[in-house]
Amino acid sequence: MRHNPLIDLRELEQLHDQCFSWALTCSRGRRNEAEEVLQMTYLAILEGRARFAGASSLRTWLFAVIRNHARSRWRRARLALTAVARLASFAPADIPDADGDGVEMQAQRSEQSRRVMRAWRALPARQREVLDLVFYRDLPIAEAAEVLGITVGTARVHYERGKAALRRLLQGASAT
Amino acid sequence: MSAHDDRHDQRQTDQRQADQRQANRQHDERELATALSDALGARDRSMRTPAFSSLWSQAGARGGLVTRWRPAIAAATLLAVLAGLTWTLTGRIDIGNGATESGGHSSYSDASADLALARELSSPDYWRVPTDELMAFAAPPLSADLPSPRGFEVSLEESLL
Repeated sequence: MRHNPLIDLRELEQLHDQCFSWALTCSRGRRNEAEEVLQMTYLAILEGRARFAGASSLRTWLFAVIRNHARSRWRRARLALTAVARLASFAPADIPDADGDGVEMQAQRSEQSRRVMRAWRALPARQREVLDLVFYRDLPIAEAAEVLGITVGTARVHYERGKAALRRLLQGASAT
Repeated sequence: MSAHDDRHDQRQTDQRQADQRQANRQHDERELATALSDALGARDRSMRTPAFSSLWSQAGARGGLVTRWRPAIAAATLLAVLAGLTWTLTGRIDIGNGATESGGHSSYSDASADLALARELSSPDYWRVPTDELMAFAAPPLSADLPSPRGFEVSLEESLL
């Protein structure tokens, strides 16, 4: 690759499934959005706007780029929504939350999975992402911090709080 | 049993309880991790991952298109900005000079002249207003053809009858 000589296309292809899954997490489970985010990531790699310097593993770097694209896409969408709402003189509270229902919820088969997903989705974005990276993708907290662009200490705090909140939410769900 | 043995037993009990708590926590964490992993795994299984080749080639095509059109887009934007600036600045100059694009008096200056004339005409000294000034605001002559008066010609006798 001209702009990214350190990236091997075969390695990238091997990571594609994981990248799509992470893009889904970053896009709140919306498939189209995840595809768009992943395509933007690949475009940034092709054009050299995202350069892999080899300071971390390719997977960690890719996850960070995907997350950044998803965040900026979400910010743009939110700005547009706010502008439209202002034009239509809606109250800001009328703007739908970015965590709205996606395909994710419909896709869950078992009741247990549905319950866990519902609790997980109720967590703040950072906690959700840390738990996804550590529990599901087996990343050490230090690497998760690198993906999220935060310090290890902050990542640890989000991890602990996320665990506690998830446990509380699951216990609350089973009690009701 | 000596006090030393009591303390030793107490320490052992505390240690056992701490170990138990730690094990419970780890077990709890493992359960949480498994539950979340299962749920996220189910989500991923239910979603068909788009083929790498299709996404990659689409990105390439998109990139090529953007790169190819980038200079044209930049030039068009620059031209639009320049045109906007010129239009705004020229518009301002015109207003300041009181002239329109056709070179005559702008409606703004006409309105102020009309106003001054109206004020003068409504004053008790209205007769002092120069006639040529009044003539300048006279209605333009009609451009439509009037019917010929020839057919209406009648002699004085006829008119008397």
